[in-house]
Amino acid sequence: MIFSAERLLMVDVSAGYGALDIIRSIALRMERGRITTIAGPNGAGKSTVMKTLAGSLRPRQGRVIVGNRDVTSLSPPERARAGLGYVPQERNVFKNLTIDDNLRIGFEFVRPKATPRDFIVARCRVLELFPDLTPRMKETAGTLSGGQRQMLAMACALMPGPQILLLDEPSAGLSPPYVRRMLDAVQAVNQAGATVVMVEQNLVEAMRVSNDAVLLVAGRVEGVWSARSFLSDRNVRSLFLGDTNPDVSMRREGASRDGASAA
Amino acid sequence: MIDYLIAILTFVAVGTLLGFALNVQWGQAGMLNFGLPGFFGIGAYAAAILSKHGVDGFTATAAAVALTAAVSALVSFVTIGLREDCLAISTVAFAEVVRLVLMNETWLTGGTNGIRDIPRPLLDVIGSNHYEAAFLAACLAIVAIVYGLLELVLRAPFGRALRAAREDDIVTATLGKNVQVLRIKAFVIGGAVIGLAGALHAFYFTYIDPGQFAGSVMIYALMAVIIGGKGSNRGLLAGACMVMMLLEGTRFLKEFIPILGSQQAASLRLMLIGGGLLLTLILRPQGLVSEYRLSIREHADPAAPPRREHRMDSA
Amino acid sequence: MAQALLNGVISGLLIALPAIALSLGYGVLNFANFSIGAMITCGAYLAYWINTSLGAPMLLAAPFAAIGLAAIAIAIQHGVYRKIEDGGHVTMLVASMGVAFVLENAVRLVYGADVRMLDVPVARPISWNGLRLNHEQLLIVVTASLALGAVNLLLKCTQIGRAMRAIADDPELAEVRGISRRRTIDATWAVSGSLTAMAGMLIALDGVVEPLMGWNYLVSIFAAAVLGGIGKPLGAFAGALIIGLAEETSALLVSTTYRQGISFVALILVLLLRPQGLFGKARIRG
Repeated sequence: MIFSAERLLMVDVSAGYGALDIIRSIALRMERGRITTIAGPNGAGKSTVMKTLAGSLRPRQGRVIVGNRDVTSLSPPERARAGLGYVPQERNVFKNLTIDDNLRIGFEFVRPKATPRDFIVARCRVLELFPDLTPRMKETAGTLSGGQRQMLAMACALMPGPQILLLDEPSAGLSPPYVRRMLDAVQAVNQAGATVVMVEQNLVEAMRVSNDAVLLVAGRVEGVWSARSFLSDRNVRSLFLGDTNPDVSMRREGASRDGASAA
Repeated sequence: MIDYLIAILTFVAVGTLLGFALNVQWGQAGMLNFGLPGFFGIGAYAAAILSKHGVDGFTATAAAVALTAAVSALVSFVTIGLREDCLAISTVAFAEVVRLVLMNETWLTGGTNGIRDIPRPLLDVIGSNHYEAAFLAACLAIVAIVYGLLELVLRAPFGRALRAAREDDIVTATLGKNVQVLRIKAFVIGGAVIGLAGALHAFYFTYIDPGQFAGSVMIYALMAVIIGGKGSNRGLLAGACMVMMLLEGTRFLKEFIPILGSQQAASLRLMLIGGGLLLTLILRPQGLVSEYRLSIREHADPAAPPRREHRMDSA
Repeated sequence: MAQALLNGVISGLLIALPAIALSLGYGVLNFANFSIGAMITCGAYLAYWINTSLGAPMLLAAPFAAIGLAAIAIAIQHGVYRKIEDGGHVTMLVASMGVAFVLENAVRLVYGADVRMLDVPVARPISWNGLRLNHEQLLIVVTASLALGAVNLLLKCTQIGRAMRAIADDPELAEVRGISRRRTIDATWAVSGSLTAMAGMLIALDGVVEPLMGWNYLVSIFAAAVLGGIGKPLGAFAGALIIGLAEETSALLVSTTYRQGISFVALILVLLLRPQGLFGKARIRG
């Protein structure tokens, strides 16, 4: 499975709903072929960043750049065709349509000139990653379990071979085995060549597969770390203060660190 | 010329009453009564039939009001809890049934021929010379009285509760207000006013047939309410009058476009009226005089999360 | 009784065409199109014009009338609905009332209020096993069945059909997956226009052409669509058959003029007891 990765830039982006900006002057550089996790306490604006990248939300100011191309003024369908694949947090599959239809829809509008053979090839590749879906092609997406739905959602986003994959909380609501599988899939996709940007609450799992971590607090970027050092960095933990749902495993890790230096 | 003016003003007065009624039902209580022409017909026919059977004008009018109010109560009771679009469909269907009854129950309604020679109330007292003018005066007085009464009712706690329910009925219900009863009451009040308008219509024209209670009545009322700013009776007075003046003015079309036959002129007029409604919705849906509210209809904000609206299919 | 059942099926097939158009429109556009009756009337008059003024036989006039109405529907979408869709579905509903009014009176303007007939050869009804069927009714059965089959195929197997179903399911997600809302909406209106034009022509063939012809079916159409589960076009087909049968069999008990009364009762019952319709599953919501 080969994708051709692109880099993703956000230049001085401010966006929000209505009069108030939720994210302010965001400048991010996500290099091609890397997996970046955006982390932060609740209400920091992580979903807003995702929506701005995907085109569902138009920024009040700033630019979004894919490769060398300014995509800020593109609508969501146009951004999809520009190589941005997006898996929203909720409502990410067509619940009244079959899995087969969902996959088809994921493919045919982003790659309108593709042949039927291209579709079959794409579907095979995607089903290799998510074999659970194969026996269920004619089932309605709404009847799937939460984990299966998430996998379908990601499969649909992958169908057209995006250069950049945007994932909003891919492991939300999933049981631990599914969480692992999802993030393994993210890793596999990246290894095949896609740039990945994701928002994740489950930081231990996320850092396992990520290259970089961005800390977003109250709508601003507080810094970028390498994924390996993110969880053990003292600054990160203090900036995270005020988070009402601290990641338990993060605490445990920090407690056992005992002064060992960041990798 | 004077006669023509009197005719227009009387027409506008009756239309204003209909507008008030729709304002209460839809503007204040959020119930889109697309069946208004049907209720209008019920009021008119009730007054006409009773009148022809010797009942005096005032009693006939009172009976028309009562009957229309009662039917409104029934309809709103049955359709209580339906969403705006479902209610619209239901009331349209109801008006259709009314129309069918009016057209077919010849023994009662005269069928498609309608009812002629409806006796006008107090005709012998006032004399036919000045009757129309006197009738107009009475209509205007009635409009003023109804306006006053409605303003009283709507400024009272009842009105506030109603508007609260229109915005969010769940919250209002938790505050202890019985939302459904409020809505039925509002619908009935509107219905009563419609019945009154119907009676006046019957006595003014002295001839009614089912065709008079059709779509154009609805369009007029809708336009008046929307232009006036949904919910505001004061705006409706301004809006309704503007609208109807404009529309009645187009009766002169025939003089300016001689090639039109009278049927065609009428159709062209009605097309302009429909077009007027569409223009209003496109250009100024919030009307000229908006009700004071904290959030007026949201304008499209491309950055806003798309609204997800209730759909009929999710019960 | 058997005759009533036969008539009911035929009536149902006829109503199915605009009912599906209504349901489809509701699913994709999210508003109840009150101008559906006027569209039927318009389609019939278009066919009438092509048939009588241009002299084309109905077989030729039919596709052109369908295309014509499709074009008109798209024009109305761009001229009216698109400009007010931010105002919410009730505004669109009120607008559709206005559109209906304009269309009906446009037709009256051009052709007056008198009753007209299409220029078709008259044929004797067919008799079979004691059941009577005239050629127009046979035509209704054939045409409606073909049209319904085509719509089914369109929705299930074509790209644009999937786009319509996707938007009906989740408009925001559909955009993210690359579906063009504009184009899908235009296509939906084209399908609606074609279906309602066909219905108009079939009604005209079996009867007359007059300005209220479509309006007279409005309640039945809504009842059928709601019964089938509004937003589910294929349910509307079943709903239409039921309404058709109900109306025709009730004619054995009640005067036929109150046909719409039966539909009214059915409509109210469905809205009160089972708003998602007989065949609509309670839609799976996020």
